[in-house]
Amino acid sequence: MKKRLFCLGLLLLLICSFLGVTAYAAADEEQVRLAYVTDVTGSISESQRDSLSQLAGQISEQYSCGVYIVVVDNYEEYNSEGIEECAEGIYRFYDLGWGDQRDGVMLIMSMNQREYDIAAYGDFGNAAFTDYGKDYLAQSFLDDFRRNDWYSGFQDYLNTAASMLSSARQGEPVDIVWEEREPEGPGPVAKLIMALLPSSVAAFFITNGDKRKMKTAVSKRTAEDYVVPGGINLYLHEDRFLHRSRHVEVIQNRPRDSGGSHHGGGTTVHSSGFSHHSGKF
Amino acid sequence: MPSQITNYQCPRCTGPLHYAGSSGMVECDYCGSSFTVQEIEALYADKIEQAEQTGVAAAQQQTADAEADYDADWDCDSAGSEWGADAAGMKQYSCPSCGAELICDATTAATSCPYCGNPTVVPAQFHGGLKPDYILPFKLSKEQAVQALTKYYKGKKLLPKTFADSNHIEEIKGVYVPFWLFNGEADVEMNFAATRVYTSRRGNQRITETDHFDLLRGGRVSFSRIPVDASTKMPDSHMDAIEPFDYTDLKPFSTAYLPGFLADIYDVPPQSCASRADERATNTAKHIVENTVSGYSTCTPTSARVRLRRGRVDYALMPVWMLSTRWNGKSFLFAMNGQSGKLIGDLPVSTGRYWARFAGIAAPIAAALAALMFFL
Repeated sequence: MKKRLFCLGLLLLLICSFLGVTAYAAADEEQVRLAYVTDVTGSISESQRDSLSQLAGQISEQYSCGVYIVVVDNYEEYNSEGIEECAEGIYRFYDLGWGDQRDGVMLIMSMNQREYDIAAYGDFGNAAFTDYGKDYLAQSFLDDFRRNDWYSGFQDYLNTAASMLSSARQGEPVDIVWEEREPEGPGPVAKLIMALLPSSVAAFFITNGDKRKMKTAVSKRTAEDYVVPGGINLYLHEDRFLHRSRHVEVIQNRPRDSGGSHHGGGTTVHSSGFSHHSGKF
Repeated sequence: MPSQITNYQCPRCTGPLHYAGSSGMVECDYCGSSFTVQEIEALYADKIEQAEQTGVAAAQQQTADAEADYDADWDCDSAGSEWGADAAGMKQYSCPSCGAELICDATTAATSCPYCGNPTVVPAQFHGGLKPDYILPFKLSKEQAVQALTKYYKGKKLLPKTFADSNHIEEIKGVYVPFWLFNGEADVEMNFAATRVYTSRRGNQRITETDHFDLLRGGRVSFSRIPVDASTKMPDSHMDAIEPFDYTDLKPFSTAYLPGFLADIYDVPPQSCASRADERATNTAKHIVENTVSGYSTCTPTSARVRLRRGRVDYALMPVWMLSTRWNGKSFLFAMNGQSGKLIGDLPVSTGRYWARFAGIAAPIAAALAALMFFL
């Protein structure tokens, strides 16, 4: 996989050099670096890529958090385990991100499968792009992608990411608590009913339990007390396997290591240090 | 594999035969007769066929006998016996109100009916029905029965106050209640549909695999002396509820256990209450077999075949303290196992106390919940 990723980097570097693209994630000459916007599928024109790369670079620098776009034909060529694992592999291999924590967010798109993943990394990256925030970010570009309007989608992604980073820097990351108002509680009558109903049910069961104790003359339908000691001879015991049934349930954004749930507020960070939001476009 | 060894004997002298390789004949060592192999085979084929037919018939008879053991009626012939000379020392009473027929020894006088409380029981000609096979003597006294009833009232939150306060036991009688004791076996075979569920996770998939099984369990359960009360005057539910009886104290019947107590004469023949014994044996055998299934996530019985090998029925008298009381014009009958002290009986429920208790439980819970919802 590393070889493929390295080849991808070299290929991109060559393309970028040839085309005179200078916007790179970092200027470290000792290592192959990935541009802010990398498109190996030719979905956007060179000028569009330049424009997007410039914008992504500005945003990354302004908020000290890398914002990346990677477009590939088939993510399985890089990592067959899944698009999330592919995103993590690219992010790590090219040492993407900003600062010591390597804060950043990356949108990876796999055109053959029409799948995307938003991967956030680093303390600030994960804090700025909460579970709800990543969903919010996805909603900004999915309409465009469904119309195959890639450039507009990327623009919307970058602009929305910038807005979210701005909010996060001000201490108010886009999250469900910030975004949605708490629903109004039940009215006084409903509260009264909610108080009376369970208490009545509890009282009913307890008093009927007492009532049952008043009637002790009950017929017996079994005779365990009269089984002869040692009088049980179990002579048949066969367990016949018939078949196996299998049910597969897809878990959407299931938290791996931390608490919290989708849209429940906060960010679900995996043990890898990444948080994700993926889906189809 | 051969099931038997055939020793060929001479058809003329019954001496042992042997095959002579030189002549190719089967020859008798004693009389010198010789036979062809075919002759001997034909002769013994007939004999073997006859023997096999006899054997098959015997085996079939044996199987038929064994099969006949199943689902046959209970053996009631040996239940009870004639009173004989014991009848001389016995008295009989009948209750004109409920029809109860009671016996006691000559030294005991019946003053009232233990079932309906009728104070006029009439002496009658002793016939006594059958003499019981066994008797379980009283272990507990009348005083202990009264104490047990007082204790029984305690802690009954729905009992009307006036019932406990003004309750006077009208009648307390030690009665030997007639029971049929059923001995037998139950053969049960049951099928179950069972599953084992395994859950694993692969990537973002939760995989649930369910293994389905057909289970077959079978066994034989032996029962000894399932008691079924043989008196129509005694409610079945009362007698069932005071069980179990410990048969280690069971004695061969003797009139020596009767002084001071009344004994009821059975008025339900064993054939009439056998269905209750069948039901109890069947249900118990099924429960026992069902409980042998373990290690599965789910288990549902799909079929059950129970065959009863009904055995001997015994006739016995069991000790019961009967306490009757009246309240608000209604009779309340309590029964205490005269051996174990287990006391049962239905008590009246105070409507006022019922709703007071309901409110007493519901109100604080509702108040606490309301406080949580309104002020937090």
